[in-house]
Amino acid sequence: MDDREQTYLRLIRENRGQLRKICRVYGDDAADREDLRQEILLQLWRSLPSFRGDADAGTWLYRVALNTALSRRRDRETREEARLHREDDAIPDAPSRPDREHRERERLERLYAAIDRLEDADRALVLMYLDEKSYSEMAEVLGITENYVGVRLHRIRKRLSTWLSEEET
Amino acid sequence: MAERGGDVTLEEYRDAWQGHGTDPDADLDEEELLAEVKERSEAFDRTIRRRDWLEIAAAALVVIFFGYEALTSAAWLARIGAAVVVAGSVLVVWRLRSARRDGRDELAGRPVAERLRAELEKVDAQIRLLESVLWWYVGPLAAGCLLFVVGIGDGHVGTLISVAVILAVSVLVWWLNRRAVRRSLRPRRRELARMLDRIEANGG
Repeated sequence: MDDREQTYLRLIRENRGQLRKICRVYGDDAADREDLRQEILLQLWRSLPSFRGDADAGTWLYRVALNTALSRRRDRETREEARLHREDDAIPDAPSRPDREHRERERLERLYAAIDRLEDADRALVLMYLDEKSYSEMAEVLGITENYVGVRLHRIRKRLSTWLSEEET
Repeated sequence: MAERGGDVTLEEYRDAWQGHGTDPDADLDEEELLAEVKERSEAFDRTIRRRDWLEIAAAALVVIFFGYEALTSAAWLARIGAAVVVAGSVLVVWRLRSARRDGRDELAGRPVAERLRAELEKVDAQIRLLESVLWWYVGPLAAGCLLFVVGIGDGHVGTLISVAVILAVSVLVWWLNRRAVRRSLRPRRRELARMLDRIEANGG
């Protein structure tokens, strides 16, 4: 196995959770998420030779994944492909699991539903915020200033909190 | 850090968020994944190579046929027309190939805003290219074909029909390109600009 292959597999292994969440947030249904995952994996492989280490590997992976997801959605919206329905099936159902786990799953469903209401660009910020990325990392991924990350995030969190409160009541 | 916009804060959801999606893929075979990704990447490269090869082969056929006519045709008008078609074909291939150098793989790892700006520039270039299709594509080829047909023709019905067909095809190509700008590229440009504004400016 050569260096490129080893680096690629390590990146995928270390960031599989983030990749899944990005696919969940930007994919419409299970099949669409799988397609997006395949597309991101392909783009990561093709872009790896151009990774020069000027950013942290995790930041770089986030950029590739987000750029691929956003570009794919733009292409589809431009082609005016009708999105008739969404199947919220990313989080596996587990009826026999203990109550606590069931409640966690419900909370996640609510969170994903609230994130789905955001614009594509804002979803990226929320994803990174929930993954506890620093403002500087978010700024590096998106290519904006840290100050603006703070301003933007403040508004988004406020909006999400309102929606989540409505859902819970 | 907690931001209260209602009774619930986003932070309260963080544990649930971080607790899911991190379990290893039970069915992920790394060797298989690698083989699959490499195969798809190679298939993608093959498709691009095939497209480029077809484009060059088509242009080569046109150049060989009209090049021969430019050198050997008895009518000087047909010779000029054939030479114009040869030059036009070379121009078309050159413009198409230079417009396609997009560096997509390198851009994928750049910050989102930078990538959006690069895409916006690319779409602007495509719009300029298609809006000027009359001057670098339709015009030279149609003019060359018309001169050639008139040059070798006898001025009767056959020539008139050929002229009409060349003009009709030219207008159709020009119209299709204008339509592609209107229906596809302009909406794409608007969407890119909107998203860039959303990320960079004080939108929202």
